[in-house]
Amino acid sequence: MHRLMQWFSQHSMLTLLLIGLLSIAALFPASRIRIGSSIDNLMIQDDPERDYYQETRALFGSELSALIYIEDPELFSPQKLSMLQDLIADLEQVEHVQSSESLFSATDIYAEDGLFNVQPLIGWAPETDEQAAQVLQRAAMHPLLKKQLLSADCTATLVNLRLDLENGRINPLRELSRNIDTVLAPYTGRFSRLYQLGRPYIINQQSVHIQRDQRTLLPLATAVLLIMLAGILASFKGAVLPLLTSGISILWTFAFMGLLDLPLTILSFMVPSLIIVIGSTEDIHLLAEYKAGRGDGLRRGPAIQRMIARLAVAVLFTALTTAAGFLSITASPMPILHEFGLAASFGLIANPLVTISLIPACLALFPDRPARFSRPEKDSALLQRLLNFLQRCRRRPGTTLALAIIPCAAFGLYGAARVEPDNNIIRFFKPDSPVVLKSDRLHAKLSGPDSFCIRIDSDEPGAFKDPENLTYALRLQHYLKEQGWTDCSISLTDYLSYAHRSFSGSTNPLPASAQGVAEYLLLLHRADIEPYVTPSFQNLNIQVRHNVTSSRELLARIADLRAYIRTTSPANLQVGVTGEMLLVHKAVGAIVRGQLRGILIIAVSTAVLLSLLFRNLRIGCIALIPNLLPVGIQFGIMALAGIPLNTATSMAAAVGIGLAVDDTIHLLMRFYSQPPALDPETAVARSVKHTIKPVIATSMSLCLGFLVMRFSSFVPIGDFALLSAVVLITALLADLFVTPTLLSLRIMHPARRMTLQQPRETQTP
Amino acid sequence: MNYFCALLLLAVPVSALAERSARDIMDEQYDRHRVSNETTHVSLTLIDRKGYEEVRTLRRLRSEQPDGLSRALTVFDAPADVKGTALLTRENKEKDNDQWLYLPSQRRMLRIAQSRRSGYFMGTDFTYEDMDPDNIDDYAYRLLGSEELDGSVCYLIEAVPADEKKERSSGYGKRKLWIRQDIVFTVQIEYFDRKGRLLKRQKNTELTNIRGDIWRAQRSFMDNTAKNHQTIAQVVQRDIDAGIPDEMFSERSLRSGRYMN
Repeated sequence: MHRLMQWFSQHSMLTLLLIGLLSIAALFPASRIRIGSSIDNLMIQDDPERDYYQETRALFGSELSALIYIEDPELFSPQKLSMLQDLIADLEQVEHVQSSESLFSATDIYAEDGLFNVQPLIGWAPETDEQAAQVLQRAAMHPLLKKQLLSADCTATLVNLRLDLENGRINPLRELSRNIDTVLAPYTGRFSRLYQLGRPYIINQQSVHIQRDQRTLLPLATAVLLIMLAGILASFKGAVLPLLTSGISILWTFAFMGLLDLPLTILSFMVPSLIIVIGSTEDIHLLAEYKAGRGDGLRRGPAIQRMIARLAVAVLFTALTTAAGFLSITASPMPILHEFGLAASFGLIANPLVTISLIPACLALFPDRPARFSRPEKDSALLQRLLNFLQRCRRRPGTTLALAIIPCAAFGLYGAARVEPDNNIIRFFKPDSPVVLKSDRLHAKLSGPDSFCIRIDSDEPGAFKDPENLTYALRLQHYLKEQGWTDCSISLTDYLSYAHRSFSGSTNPLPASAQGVAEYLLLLHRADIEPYVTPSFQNLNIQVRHNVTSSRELLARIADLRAYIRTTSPANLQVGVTGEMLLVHKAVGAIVRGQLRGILIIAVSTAVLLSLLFRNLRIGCIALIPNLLPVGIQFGIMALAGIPLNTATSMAAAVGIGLAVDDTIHLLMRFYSQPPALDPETAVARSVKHTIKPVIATSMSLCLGFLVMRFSSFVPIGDFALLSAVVLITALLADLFVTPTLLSLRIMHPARRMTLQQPRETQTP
Repeated sequence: MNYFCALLLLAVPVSALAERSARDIMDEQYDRHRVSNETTHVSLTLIDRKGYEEVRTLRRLRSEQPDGLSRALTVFDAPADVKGTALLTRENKEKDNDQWLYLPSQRRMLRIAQSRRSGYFMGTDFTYEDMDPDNIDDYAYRLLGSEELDGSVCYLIEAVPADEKKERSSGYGKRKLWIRQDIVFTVQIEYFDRKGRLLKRQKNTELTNIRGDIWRAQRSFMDNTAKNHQTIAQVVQRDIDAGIPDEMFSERSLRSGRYMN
């Protein structure tokens, strides 16, 4: 590592040329990067239940739809119904809209004055108030509309646009949402409320927010870094170098993502900000060391040599531990986390590579201002008081360690028991965001936007013309209604029951014979019942809508439903529960497992790296302790603040450890490079004194950098940022109080004989 | 012009397009192809958006009464679970036609309301309105010009409901008819809603000369673009003027099951 950095400083022009050429080559693949806000990547990749879901989709058609919510107190006036009809007709012209379900597509089956009607509920928009009142009366009594397409007070309705798009096709979905907005625009203001919801809208909103966050967070992170660097290095010119290394690293990372077709998702869009924030810490250490060398009166060359000698190994290992933190995320079975882990770990490996090559080369090539760099530095009174306090703490190691470790562990255990895993895509948006407000309104007036389906299969063709099998489906629907947590369910049984009660006047919901069922089926158009039964009548679908937003609660409810199915399903029927959002919610298990696995991987890999670095397993393991304490604090705060464990927050612990251990490495390296003859307390004191400033500076700049992401449009990203900042602050405190106290223990001393190569002229006392 | 009526329509030789009004053409078509009674055995193939096909067979009996009004009975023969389900239609002169649906499992005649007949008939892409014999007076016709379709020169005629009542009861805002000039027979119909948007397209093919100038389409393909669904009606047997007893079109015939013979 030393030799490599020295080569870069000695061949500065060639180094800059190589970096320049590589960056130019990266431009093309980087330009191919795409936004990929898909739902699929929030599911578990190899989940066998996905096959069942895909099979269900193939049987009953895609559940992909765009929802148009219309609310108006005069909804059933001739004018509004006419406008609604025009609106639906315009929406049906939008590309990829296959068909629509609305008040205008509903079939009305009823008997009146001895005449039987089987006709569209509203063939044409009524022209008089009297006709409109008749339509309102029929609509209010229509059992298939209630809560599905029409609110109880008949002032809100839903138009369900069925789409011929696949979920994975992101760009057409976004374009479709924009096209729907274009259609809605001239009607806005003509109804009290008019807006779209559904998958295309969510996907488009994700993309819009990702782009908005990119536009705001990146400049903000850059500004924060610039201010921090200017403050730490006392030079704006010196602050440019870290920005340059970050910029080049981001370009290379985008090229990597473009080559591997890794999309910008609601997680991976953070990568550039993370590179700026995290990547700059090594730059700060290197430049601060160089500045210190110049301050000690060294010329540029020797100052660079001292910087390399003191920090080359530290930079290598801190880069490895940071990357390990992000690499641990790639073990997740969820594509969104896997892709983020790949992109982030590449970026955070690329960044130190750029740093170790570009900074020595630039420092060697471009002259600095010795006058500013060589100003002697004095410790402030505040810093001196802090150092004295730390020293006092080290005199009572047992108390210090107990006061640090026991509360952290207890707080962590309390948090771990209470933290709730969650993977609800709607809750990715802020509570006051239009997405959430619109969804809540839909739930309040009609039914929740979430759905799942109960699929019942039989080996026998025509099984669902048999009243016995249909009765079982009806029983499941009754069970759901009794449970009370679903908003509504709809199936073929509802259509048949509607026809049967209208035609026969019977109180029985279904006809007694298969022939009776078949006759009623003749009254229905195949397209109307297509989502509920296959043409062979071997497979039945019960669509259930609900507004349970908590993953844990929904999964518990579904478990109860499955238990009920197991005990009640007839031998000739196979019953399953599936749904796209159900698969997404189910991924919380993977999130929890991923959280534990991530912490384990980063802990083990950090321990191994530290053991290798200091050639002592015991030191590797003990040095890990201060870096595990922040995890306890993180879980405790999550529980107290009600922050759920989700795709983003589940990364905070692993990423935090990976970052926090950097300061530990710097401190340990400084300690173990002290002369072996020096008494331990003096060695610890010197190490702390020498590293405290850059450690505080890097931790604070990291915290500020993460807190910039608190301004993200996405709640999990904001929570991740907050938790990462908490982890870093806790890690800083642990590195100030716990790590030096551990170093003062006898158990840590044998390894002080380890020597690190340092140029003679730069040996420190 | 609807499918079943299209099978009945007449043709007369055509001289110059400009000399004829659309109404003349419609009248001539009606007169040219009329028969006193007709029985057709039809295989209906319903095709959903995924291409799944469902086949039903039915008989359609139609008889013209001495007063010029028609009676029609449509009876399902297959599949077995709908065998015997029937729709009886009686044309009236001064009032709406009467339609009854007979469901064998309930042994009940259900009278279908005629105020709006835009509901789909028995899961096909034909509506109850399409099943009704057309009264030419119910529509106003306009000759849009001539157009070549599948190698034949056709009149292109637009038909819109003639009055407000018909307009309210109809599921269509207008229809466009392509009528072959040589045999004066409708070969294509496009159905539009009131906003002028295409709902369905019907193509009548496999034209057969029954006798003299009387033509029939053996196959009719209805493409329901609004529902993304299609229906093919293939005539497998046709009996013209073979005589159908009047009692076949009675409620008693349906209730006694004689209509099944």
